[in-house]
Amino acid sequence: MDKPLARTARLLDLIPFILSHQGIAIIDLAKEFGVTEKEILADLNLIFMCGLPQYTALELIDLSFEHGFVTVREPQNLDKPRKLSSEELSILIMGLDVIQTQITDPSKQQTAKNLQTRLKQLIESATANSILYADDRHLPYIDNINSAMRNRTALNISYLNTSKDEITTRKILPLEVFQQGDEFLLLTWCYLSKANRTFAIARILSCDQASDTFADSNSDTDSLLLATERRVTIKFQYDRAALSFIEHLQDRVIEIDQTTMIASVEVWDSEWILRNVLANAGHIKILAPAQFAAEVAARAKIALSNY
Amino acid sequence: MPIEKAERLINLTMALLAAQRYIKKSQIFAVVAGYSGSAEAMERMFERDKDDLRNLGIVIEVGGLDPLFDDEPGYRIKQSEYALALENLTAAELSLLAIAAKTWQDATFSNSAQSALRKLRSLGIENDATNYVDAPFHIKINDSNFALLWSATIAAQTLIFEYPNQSNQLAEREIQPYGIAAWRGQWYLVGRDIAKNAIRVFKVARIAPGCKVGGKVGAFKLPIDFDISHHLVMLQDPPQIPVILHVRKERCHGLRQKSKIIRNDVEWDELQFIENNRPQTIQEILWYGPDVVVISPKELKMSVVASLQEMAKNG
Repeated sequence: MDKPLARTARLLDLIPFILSHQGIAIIDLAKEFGVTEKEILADLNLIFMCGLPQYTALELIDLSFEHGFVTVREPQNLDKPRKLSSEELSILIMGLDVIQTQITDPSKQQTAKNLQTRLKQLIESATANSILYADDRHLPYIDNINSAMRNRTALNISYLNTSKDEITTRKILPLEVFQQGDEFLLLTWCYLSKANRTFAIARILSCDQASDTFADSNSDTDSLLLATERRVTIKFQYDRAALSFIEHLQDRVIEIDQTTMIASVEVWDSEWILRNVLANAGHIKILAPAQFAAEVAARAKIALSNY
Repeated sequence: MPIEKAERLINLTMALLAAQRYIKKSQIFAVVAGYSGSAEAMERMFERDKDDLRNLGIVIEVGGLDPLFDDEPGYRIKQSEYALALENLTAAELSLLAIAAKTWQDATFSNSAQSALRKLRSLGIENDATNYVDAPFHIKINDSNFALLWSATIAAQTLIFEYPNQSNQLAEREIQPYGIAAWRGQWYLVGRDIAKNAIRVFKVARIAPGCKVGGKVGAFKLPIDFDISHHLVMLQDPPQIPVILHVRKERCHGLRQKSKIIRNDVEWDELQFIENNRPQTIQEILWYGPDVVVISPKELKMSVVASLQEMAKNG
């Protein structure tokens, strides 16, 4: 959108916003619209000049902003907010899908559903069914986590480390929950590592309000602290069935040739890559280092001996 | 002093909103502040202004002034087409919409989410902040194509991108995007492949960087009965199959979380869980290598053994 057009959109939105927030400080208005105070002042001066044909004092928009606070006295016919654009409606409709995957309270679920139906009536009929957010995984402990984030309190968690196949206990201060790729992640301050740590929420096995007596388990060796010492480069060949694994690796890929389907990745946890190769059921073949390939084969042979 | 373009556009919007009947261009030039110069210059100015207002989503109606004569067309903006029509929105509903918008914090759509929220807050309804405080989580999308895929889908614009074919070679595809869906955090684009004249599903993460739009806005119409959920196989109800495993004591914690123990032994425990995704179950079992043995179903056991045999011979 070019600058004058973006400004026109802002001017049209400013008037109803001020009307519903009469006496708002210019500094807050600038923050709300993501522009400088100087730009907002220029906008207000311009609005002051706009009005209905005849443009006498009776037809102009009237507002006051002399003392750093803004009030609209006469909005003329721009008193209502503009309708939501298709993109804005789509974002809200999908946002309500997201909420419905995680809210457990049935009455709030119903409110979200009814609201979504109303929004879908405002969008072009066919488009209403062209966007969807679906997830059948309910986040365990999401209410505890969100409540701890609001109250800035710490949590005790037990956490499943799938690479090591062990459960550790930690005291964490939750900072943000987000979804990235196919995982729900929790960014925290970890008292055990004394650093920021990110945990996969699906692998949090218990989660309680922290008490002063809580002690971190000392069984855990925090993998990330040893990251630089254990970093290893693995070269492997994959087939189409392992494409999801390659996508999951993302920024760990150093080199990839999509024609030969050979990739090199840098990992800090050799156990993690060995288990992933096993899990991909022969669709990933390690080319180097040779001892990693031998280890995968050895584990497969031991597993076979159980049958 | 010439009037700024933004000022002229506001004046034009107000004049067209105030019009009870269609108003002619000549009347607009005469009464709306900001139109000056030669007739041709004003004409061009007005055509651009109409396009600009329409790009802001403002619907300008065009109609004849007199149905009996082929007269010069007139213009107006209906208040009902201009204003946000969410009457009787409760405080709780507004709070819920605020949360819906906040879901996209840090994501591709944060600007649109913010502007949607601002319009809603301009309705003059107080948020029910005690009831709904924050989004359950935020969505972060690290995909250079995503914003374009989304906007082209909303605007019904054709897309051109490269996508791996059956032999994993990138091949160009020209697609009319019909919809976008997320399933378990993975995004999918559903659209009509123009060359194949068939609806296809594309995993967004596999679309090569550098996707482009290949046509104008509104280039195609969605089939009236289109529903994206009908095209995503993962949304169909999968069969529920009980699985019985032997897992080594104190091992396989991930499998134990989803299972119930049906028998304890000295070295192994017998677990049972219900599976609904066979490839995922095989992956989970193979992840734990020698610490798990499949007891049933037989087909699962055979698949796991075959995979282990394949990996054992490559050592």
